Amino acid sequence: MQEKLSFIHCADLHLDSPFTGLNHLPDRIFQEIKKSTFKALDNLIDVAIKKKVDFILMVGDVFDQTNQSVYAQMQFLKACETLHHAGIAVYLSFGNHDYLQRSLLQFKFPENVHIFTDDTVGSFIFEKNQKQLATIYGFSYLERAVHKNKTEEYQKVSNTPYHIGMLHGSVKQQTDHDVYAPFQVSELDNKGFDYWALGHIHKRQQLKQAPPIVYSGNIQGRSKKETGEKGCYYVEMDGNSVDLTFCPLQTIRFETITLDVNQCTTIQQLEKALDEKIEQIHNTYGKTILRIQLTNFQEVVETWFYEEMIADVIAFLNEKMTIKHDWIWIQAIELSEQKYIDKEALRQGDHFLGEMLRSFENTELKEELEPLWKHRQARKHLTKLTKEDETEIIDQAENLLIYQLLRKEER
Amino acid sequence: MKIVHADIYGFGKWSQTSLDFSKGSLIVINGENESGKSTLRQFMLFMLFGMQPKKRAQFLPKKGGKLGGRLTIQTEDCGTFTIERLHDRNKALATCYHEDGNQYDESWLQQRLKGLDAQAFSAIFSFDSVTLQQLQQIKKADIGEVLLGIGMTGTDQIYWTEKWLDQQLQQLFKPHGKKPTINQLLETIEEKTNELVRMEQEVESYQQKQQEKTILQDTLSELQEEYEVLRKEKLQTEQKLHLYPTIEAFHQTQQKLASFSTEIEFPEQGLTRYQQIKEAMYPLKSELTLIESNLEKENQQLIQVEESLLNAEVVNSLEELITKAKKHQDIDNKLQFTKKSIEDLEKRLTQELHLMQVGLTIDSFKGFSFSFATEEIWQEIKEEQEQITREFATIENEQATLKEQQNFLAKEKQTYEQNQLDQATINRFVEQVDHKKQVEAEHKLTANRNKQKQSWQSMKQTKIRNANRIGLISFGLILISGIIGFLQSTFYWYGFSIIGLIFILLQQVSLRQSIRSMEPLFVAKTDDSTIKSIDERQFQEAEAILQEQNQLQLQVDKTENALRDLQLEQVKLEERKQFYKQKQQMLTIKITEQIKQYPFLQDVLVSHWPKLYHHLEKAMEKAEKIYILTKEADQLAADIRDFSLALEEAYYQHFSQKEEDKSKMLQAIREIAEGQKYKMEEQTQIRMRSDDLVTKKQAIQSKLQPYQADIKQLWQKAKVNDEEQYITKGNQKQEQQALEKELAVYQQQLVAFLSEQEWSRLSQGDLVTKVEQDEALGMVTAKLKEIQAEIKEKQQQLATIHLELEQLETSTLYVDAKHRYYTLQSELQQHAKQWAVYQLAIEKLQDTKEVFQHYYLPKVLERTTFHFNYITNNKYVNVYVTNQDAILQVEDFEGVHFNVAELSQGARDQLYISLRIALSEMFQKQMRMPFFIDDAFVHFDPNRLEKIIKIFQKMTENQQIILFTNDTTWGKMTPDKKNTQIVQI
Repeated sequence: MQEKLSFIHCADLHLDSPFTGLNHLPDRIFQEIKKSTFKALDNLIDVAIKKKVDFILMVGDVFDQTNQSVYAQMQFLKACETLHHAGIAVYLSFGNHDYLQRSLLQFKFPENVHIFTDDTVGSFIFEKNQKQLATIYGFSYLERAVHKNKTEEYQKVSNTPYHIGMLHGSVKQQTDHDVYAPFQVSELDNKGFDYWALGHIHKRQQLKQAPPIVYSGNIQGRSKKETGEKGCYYVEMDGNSVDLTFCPLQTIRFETITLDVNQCTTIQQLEKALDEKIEQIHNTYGKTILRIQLTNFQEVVETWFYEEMIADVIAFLNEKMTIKHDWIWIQAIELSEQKYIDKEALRQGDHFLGEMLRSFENTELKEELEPLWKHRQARKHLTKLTKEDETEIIDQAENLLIYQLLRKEER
Repeated sequence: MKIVHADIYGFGKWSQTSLDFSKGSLIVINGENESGKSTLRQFMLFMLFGMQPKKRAQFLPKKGGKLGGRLTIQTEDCGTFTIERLHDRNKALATCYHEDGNQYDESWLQQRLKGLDAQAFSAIFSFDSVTLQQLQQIKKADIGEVLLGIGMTGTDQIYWTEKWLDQQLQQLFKPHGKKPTINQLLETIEEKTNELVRMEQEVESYQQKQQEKTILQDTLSELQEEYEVLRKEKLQTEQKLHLYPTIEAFHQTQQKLASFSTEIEFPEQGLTRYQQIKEAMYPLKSELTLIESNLEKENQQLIQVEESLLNAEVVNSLEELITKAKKHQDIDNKLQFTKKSIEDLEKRLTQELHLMQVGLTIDSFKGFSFSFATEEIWQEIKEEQEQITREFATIENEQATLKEQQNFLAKEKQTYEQNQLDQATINRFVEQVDHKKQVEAEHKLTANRNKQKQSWQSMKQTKIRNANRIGLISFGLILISGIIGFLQSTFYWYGFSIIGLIFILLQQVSLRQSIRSMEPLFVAKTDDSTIKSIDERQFQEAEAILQEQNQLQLQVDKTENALRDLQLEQVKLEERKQFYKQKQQMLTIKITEQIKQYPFLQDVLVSHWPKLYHHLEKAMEKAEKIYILTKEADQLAADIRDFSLALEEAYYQHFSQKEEDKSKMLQAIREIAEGQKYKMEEQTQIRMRSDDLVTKKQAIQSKLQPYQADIKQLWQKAKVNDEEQYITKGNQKQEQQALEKELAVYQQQLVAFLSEQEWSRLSQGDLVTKVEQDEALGMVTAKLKEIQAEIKEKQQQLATIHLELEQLETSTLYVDAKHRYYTLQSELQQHAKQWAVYQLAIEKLQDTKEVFQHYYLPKVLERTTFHFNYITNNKYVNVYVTNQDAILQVEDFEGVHFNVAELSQGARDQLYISLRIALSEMFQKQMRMPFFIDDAFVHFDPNRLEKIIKIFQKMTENQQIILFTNDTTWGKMTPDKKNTQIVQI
């Protein structure tokens, strides 16, 4: 039996990362959100010390931007020092979001921190009780993108009992847009390593069980897209088996829930249904930023939605929930799909609506958006719309038009 | 689609009424004012499209009963079904009862109606007198809007939606506005961005400050170092002042040293080393001197001895002479003895010669010699003579024997010849014997033949018996096969029997024939021989005689042969005798020759020659001896003579005094020789001694050599050639060194307190004055103060930077600003997205409107023109609109243009109806809905009304028209009641 080895695998810390899609937050929540990535880092350190791990692997994107606030850097340095006092080594590489930071390198990291500074794969040997126990391989991004498949550069260089690869990148897609060190699972599998610590993908996932090829995901969700628990893997090895335990680190969760509101015919009923659901979430998830999708709704709900009556309900609920310790913040309520009108049947019609809906086909948002996206001031701050955004906009525009053109009641 | 039946349970004033519309396509519903025409129309709309509860409430039956009813619809594509709606049941949603017995719901109905709603239906398929009044305001856009209502959306909805969207957009964003949400947000963001940029610069300044800090720290440490240096300098200057006397002493010493040539080349500790070498050399040198004086003495002695020594050759000759003198005595003795020996030998030789008596004397014997072969020749001659004599005797003997044998053989031969018979008798006896032998041979042959015949007979009998036995067995087998053949009636069995029979016969015949051919060979030649023969006795006699005669003949032949051999022997002997006679002659010649050579042989027999030879030989040996001895004696006498001469010569060389006595002379010479010997010995000893001394001298010299080399080296180093110079230079060097040492001591005392510059000055001979020192002290003190002040300043600066850095490190201001910015940015993005939704929606709405108007409007106007032209009896030829906001225009047959306002009321109504008909035609292609017309023909003259009716009749080919009117003349007006149903209410 080989000597035991335990470590924490984390990635994509994105320290000091701003959250997206959040408006009009109360100051208290805003403050907590600001600190959330640092708090998650603190949690990480606590877990490492509590589990008495041998080392921590940080697989890229420790920081969110290449230019960092001194505060963030100092926080990280402080964390490293804490680990140093606890006798825990840190193996660190930089990814596409924090590609090698010049300013960071000037810091005097404690000697427990080992940084992969090169853009070719290098290695460090981890020693435990004067015995060489593990070789850790990795590389850092020196530019925003790495088009090259780096797997070839991972070659065993020692006879240590364990070999662990750190790779910040994504599985090769068949498109030409593989800009993040594309690899294939089989290529990693073939290396004969004991563990592959991956970074870059924020969703936690295990690409392979043996040897484990793992994305630990990020440690704190930052938008509605990064839902669920976020954290790190606590890994134990003894030569025969590898045990992975997920340790949540996030302080704030992002969640999207769906709510069937078929029974709601009055706004009060809707409010009650929402209130009940939120209470339920409050009890299970803790601090949560929530996105609610209403399904199976009555036609009238749409009216409430477009007439912003629902927005008022949300404001009321938010006010109520944010004073609690484990607050809930409803970010948005969406109508997931309307059932009482067959949009596709309408699309086939010979009438005005049909004609109009058909004109949406193959729409590419460009000229339509120019007044705002090319506006002198606005263009500096607006980000380019993603395909997903565009689809959403088109869908919403369609729904809006259908709603407006078919609404029955008086204006 | 046609409405064929209506059952009204209760609707407004209507209750429990049933109406039928199935009798035609143009339904004229005729009634007075307030008779419920419009309510009926509403009922139909309610049945088809449903109704808002609020609106429904207006039609609650006044007389009680439930609101609702049934409407039966006939469609082309879906058969006939009945719609039922009840106000208080299922939210007044329709239930459709199809003729096939199935039941359908509202949505099914909506599908049948292709999504058309009451409003749209009203806009297209229904008009009344009130709407006719609107024509004056109808503009192109309005017609367009009507057209937009094709389908499910009302034009109002489109209008409102567009307006609403525009509002939303305006509220959100105006490219040059300030108030809209996005514009405001942008302002805020700009502010925040500027703040952020400023802070970012601050962050960047962090790096700069860090560098500044490092620089400051470096500068500070440099300053501190400088301070330390200055402090030391000050201390040194002070000390220097204390040390001033030493500096002066240093200076003076340096001056003294300057008088010396810069560098005196002299070996290290040269004088001491020199002295040491010298001391080491003293004992050796004194010893060397002693040896040298001894050696001198020895050499003088040697010269003296060598002067008294004779020449080596002379001494040798003397020595030789002395040696010879010893031999001289022996030679003398030997000479006497030799002479005596010669005398003895001569005496004996004379005696021997005399005894030989061959007349030889010693003198004649002198020079006598034999050849080497003489003895052999003499011996051979003697032996040959003896052999010849012996051979002659033998030959004579053999001749005598031969003679005797011949005689004997001759006698024997004679005897045999007498006993022999004559030849004829012998021949007869031979014939008899031959005949007898032939007879005996024939008799033997006959006996053999009889024996062969007997064996043939027995063989013949056996063969015949065997043949008969085979024949019998074969015959038996043939018989059996014959019987089988008969029994089985098989043909081949018969065949087999026949073949067997033939075989037996052939075998018997061939056997008897072969016996017959063999018989003659054995039966012939059986008769006996008949030769006559002599009897046995006579035969034996004859044979004996013949044998005897043969013996005799053999004997005679033998004797003859022996006689012949004897004769041959005799001849041979004669030849041998002749040979020896010749040999005798040759020997005689040899003898004569010898005698001639040695005359004294004359009187000696040949047989004595070898003996004589031996005697002569001995005598010759003696003579030889005498000769040799005589010669020896002569030699010895000569030697003695030579010696005497040499002795005399030697003697007179050394002595002048005459001396006769040789022994005295010899004695004198001997003395001289002895003296020389002694002197030579002395010489050798001296030489040995002096050699010894030389060796010793060399040893000492070699011991001295390294010292000398050392000395030479020292001189070389000092670059001098003698001791005097060396020592002088050495003393100089010592003095210089002493000064240098002194200087060094001063230097040591000073070095710690003088600067390099001062040193170089001082060492160059320049005296650092006291005034200078005082000045320097003043300067250093001033400088120190200056640096102290600077250090203080830098420390302050560093503290400030430290504080600033710490502030940056701990401050979350930037973090806050960044998050604020991103929150705003996120808000902006969200609003922008909302804006994009509105923007997209409005664009699509407007686009579609455009498409609709462009596509349908010209067609509608074309149809309007067509109908209007027809109704007005070709008065108006064109209906058109110029631009979006213009009202309708018409052109009459004369080319005059009017706008709608300029037309008469009637023409306006007609134009409007034409337009509505045209519009409904547009939709008819998709939906053949019933066309509702309510009291629209008030201003129509009978002529034009007729035209309208004609149009309606034409229209009813495709669609049901329900006309509501209070004009009872309608029934009469319709020219042809066919396809027209009047419903009076």
